[in-house]
Amino acid sequence: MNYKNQINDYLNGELDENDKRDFIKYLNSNLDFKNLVEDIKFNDNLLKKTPCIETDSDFIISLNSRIDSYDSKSPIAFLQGLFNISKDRVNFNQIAGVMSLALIILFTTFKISNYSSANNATLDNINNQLESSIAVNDADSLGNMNSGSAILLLGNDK
Amino acid sequence: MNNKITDEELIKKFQNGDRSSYNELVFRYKDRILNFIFRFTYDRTAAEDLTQDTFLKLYLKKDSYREISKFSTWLYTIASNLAKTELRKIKRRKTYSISDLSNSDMEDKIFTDHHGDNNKIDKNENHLLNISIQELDPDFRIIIILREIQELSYENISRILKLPLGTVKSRINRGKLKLREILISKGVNRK
Repeated sequence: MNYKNQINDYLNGELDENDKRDFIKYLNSNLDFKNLVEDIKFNDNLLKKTPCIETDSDFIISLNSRIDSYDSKSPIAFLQGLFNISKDRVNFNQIAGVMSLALIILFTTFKISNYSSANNATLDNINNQLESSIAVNDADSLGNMNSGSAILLLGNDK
Repeated sequence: MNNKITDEELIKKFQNGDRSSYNELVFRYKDRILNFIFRFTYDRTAAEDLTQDTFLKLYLKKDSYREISKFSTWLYTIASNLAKTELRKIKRRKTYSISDLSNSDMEDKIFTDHHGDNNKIDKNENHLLNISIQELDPDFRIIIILREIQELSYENISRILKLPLGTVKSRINRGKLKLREILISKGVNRK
């Protein structure tokens, strides 16, 4: 049996009756071991007597200023400022509401921009067709066309 | 009748947006966490900074606390992780001997002894004890501090360090045997 492994349990009174009896028997038969146990008991006392230190007087002020500095840089703080939501009242529903509003605005902007691009494309197409038609009509009106050549007549009633 | 609100109730209120509950938790634990980190690093400035970091993390990560564990266990876990990381940085940064750490500001800032005036430890003995603790392997050191100085239960230490109960107990025993050797080598022994 390695009694060294039981020293802490012995000092804390955590050995069961049988183990305790064997431990004490060994302790009383071995002076070196007895000294070892006494040393550890002494050191335990020393550890328990170590003085406490205290935080600096400005600890909480300094901590709160770090927190405020973090809060002011966060995106949530930006949204809170934008929608005038107090820090104490902010909750998930409010954040979700703000995010939904932002998404709706983004989606609407996207749709409007898509609609105007599509309209521009249609107008360009109509303009191209008109220009081709005018060009063929102009060529026809010149009256010096080669009869053998194949001509595609677009927008020409003749 | 004890009407004192529990830590778990306070963190719950803080999770619901009550900042004053956060301040109360800081007030309750600031000195305990400072002492724990100070004994582990034996660097007053680093300990003060890390204590602030611990509470800043508590503020930022408040929603990750679940009531399956005690609040103090959760807080000590944050503090011990930060302290272990810092210790690695200190080791890389500092090349001077541990005996050079007897800086006066550290000793001068020792104000009170929560065990009572009659039980005060000699200043030099305290310093030797602290530097002896620093010579322990960090795995033993952290357990000795949590158990013998912070007086936490084996179960709490086991949860904080995520170690089996048997490992915690055996490390405490081995740590104490090692600490005895170091203290004897520095001349600290029973008179």
